[in-house]
Amino acid sequence: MAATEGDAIYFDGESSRRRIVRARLADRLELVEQGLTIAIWRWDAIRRADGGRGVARFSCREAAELARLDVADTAFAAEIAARCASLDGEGAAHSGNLRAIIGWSLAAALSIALIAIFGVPAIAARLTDLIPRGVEAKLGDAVAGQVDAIFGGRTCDEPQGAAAFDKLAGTLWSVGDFPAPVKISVRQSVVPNAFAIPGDRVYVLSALIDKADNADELAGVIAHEFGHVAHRDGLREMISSGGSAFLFGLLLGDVTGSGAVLIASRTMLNAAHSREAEANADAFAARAMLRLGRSPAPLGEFLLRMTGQQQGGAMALLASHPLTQDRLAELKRLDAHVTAAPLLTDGEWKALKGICAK
Amino acid sequence: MTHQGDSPDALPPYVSARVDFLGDGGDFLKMMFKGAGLQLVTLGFYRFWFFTNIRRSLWADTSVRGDTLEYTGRGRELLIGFLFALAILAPFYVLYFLAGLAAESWKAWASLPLFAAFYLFGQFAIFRARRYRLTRTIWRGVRFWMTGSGLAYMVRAAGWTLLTFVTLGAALPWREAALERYKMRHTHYGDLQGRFEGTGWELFKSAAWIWAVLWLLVVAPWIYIGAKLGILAYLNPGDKTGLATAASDMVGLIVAASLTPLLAIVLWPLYVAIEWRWWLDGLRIGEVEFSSTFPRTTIFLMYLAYAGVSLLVTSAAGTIGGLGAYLATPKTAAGAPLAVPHVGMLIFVAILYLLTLACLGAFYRYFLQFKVWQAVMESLTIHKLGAAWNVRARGGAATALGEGLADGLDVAGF
Repeated sequence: MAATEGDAIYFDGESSRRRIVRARLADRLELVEQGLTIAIWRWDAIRRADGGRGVARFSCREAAELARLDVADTAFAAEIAARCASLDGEGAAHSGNLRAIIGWSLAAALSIALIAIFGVPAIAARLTDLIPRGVEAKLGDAVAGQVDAIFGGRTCDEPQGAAAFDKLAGTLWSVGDFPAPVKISVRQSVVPNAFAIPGDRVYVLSALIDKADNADELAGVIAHEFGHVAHRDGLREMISSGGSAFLFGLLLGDVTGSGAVLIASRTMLNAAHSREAEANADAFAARAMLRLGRSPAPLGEFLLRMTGQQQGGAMALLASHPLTQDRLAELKRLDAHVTAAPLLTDGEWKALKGICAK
Repeated sequence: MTHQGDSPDALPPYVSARVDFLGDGGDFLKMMFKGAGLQLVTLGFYRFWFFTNIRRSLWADTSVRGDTLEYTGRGRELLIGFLFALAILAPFYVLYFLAGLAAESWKAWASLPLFAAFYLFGQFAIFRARRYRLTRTIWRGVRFWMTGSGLAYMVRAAGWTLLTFVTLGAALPWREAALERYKMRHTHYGDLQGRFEGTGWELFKSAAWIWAVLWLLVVAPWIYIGAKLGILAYLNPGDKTGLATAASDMVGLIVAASLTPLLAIVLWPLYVAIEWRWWLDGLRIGEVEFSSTFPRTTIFLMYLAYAGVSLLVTSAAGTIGGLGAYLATPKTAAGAPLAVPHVGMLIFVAILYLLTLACLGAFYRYFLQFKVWQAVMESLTIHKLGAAWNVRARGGAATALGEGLADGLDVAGF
């Protein structure tokens, strides 16, 4: 026959007094101390609490919040537990409902990912139009500081080379319908690249000039970056990556969003513009070259040489400057007969090649 | 071990008791691995329940004369605290971003000092998180609780930290003592009020040799060279040769600089152990006193054990990753690997990386939370325990906002 009465230790939740009681299992749980009933707990209101090893601990929703009953006899504790309808109900000590936690976590992650993928770029596009040029210039200053930090601030400015470079850039600028001058400079680097940052700034890295075979190739790249400037892609990308970093920071909890400026500007320098932005910049470059009576095809050939033939698929998506076959085909399609003299004379081109010489 | 024979008023007030810890390392490690796995699956959201379960288990295995501690916090409370903290922190981040922008446009990296603002927030969070944990700590049906103001604590902590910087670390023991005094005099168990009787001087004395080593090998060379450069520049303005001779001292400086991390790795755990023991010895709650025999090598040994296990785990992961990469890389006819890695390979490496991190996290918690907790508890003796035998319950549960802030700012331990 199962025990209907047993020893227990009772803490009334009003004091730290330890009270030795008899627990009687009747239609309710009765706690009796020296013949006196000191508490009656309804079975429905009893919850599990964390006792130590080998001690079952119970609380009661209708008693003092911290009133506890400790039962050391395992069999007797099981008798009590068997009578409680909602031992693990609201207020009980338990490890959490795993299925619910996993489900809601994934739902939250999905929602944040969707916002980051679709919401943030859309917001960035709207915000970009609203941000005044003056504010963008400030942002540009911040990013320019980072550029100096990364490239050591060594600007290539051998006088004759710089004159040729300025002529080339000036010619391209004049056909771009820009409201303001674009600050463009050459930085010493072994990475063949060029990039635009917010605040109408373009950087060309020296290795790119080394690798260019003729002025049209370099002109195409500069015009492409001018396209990013004209479309304010740098600003849009900065808002977008900053916003995404912030969102994922929220998700992970331990990314404080601190240094968001650094993260945003770094990402902007390393990561790509969207494929759409690249295609638009290509179109801008092609228009500029055509207006100057030159062909946009060398830009495509040059980019192809720099990045290698890329297969479609996941890797092309991950690459920082995705030169897809579509972009190449589009530039080829726009190929036109050259109707004007070269943008630089042979002498000027040679001088430009030596812009980083001391 | 239980003492069911104690009658309510049987304990004489002067009785001392050891603290028993009944935790099982295997069980805990299993819980850590399960938790780490769930952390991965839930992208980190499981942490609220994970941390709650860790505390529940440690508390429930800690027993004073047969009565175990109970942790009554819930994962859901931490989640809500975190959401509230986000609501406070999100606009602050935006302000921080704008201020950082202004600073960065002035000079690259100029936004870094703005971290000071996060430090202040962090101190506030530490105080409030402590209050949350304390009010969820129950012994014999009565909770611990806390008064005091997080802002007042923040101001004190910031002031003392500044002083510690200015004095090249010398003020640290007095900083710890002052902050503990503040925290403990606002700590209560039922109607017993806590206080802290450790002094900065005692801590300084116990750790004096650490300070001596640090100053001799790290701080002194920097001061020496800085002073020399300063004097030379003052005596011969515009003279570069003086600077050049001073540069020869750079060798010494580089030696000192490279010693610094090595020293930190060894000295820091030793110092932390000394401070723990000093802290435990200084604790008072009403008449109740604490004393500890916490060995000063424990934390260092735990770090060592963790480093050893980490080395094993990472080399195992490296071997698996290397092998997988070799087998999975597509080869050309000549047998040379293709330049472009397979997408499946990237996913494999990413998963391996995450699993390795999860493994390291589990072992970290095992060695530096479970084992250290165990060592601390087993080192403890509580004196005049009778004073806590029959106290009246007072104080209510605090919100988990502080925990949320601490989580969002990544400060505080468990």
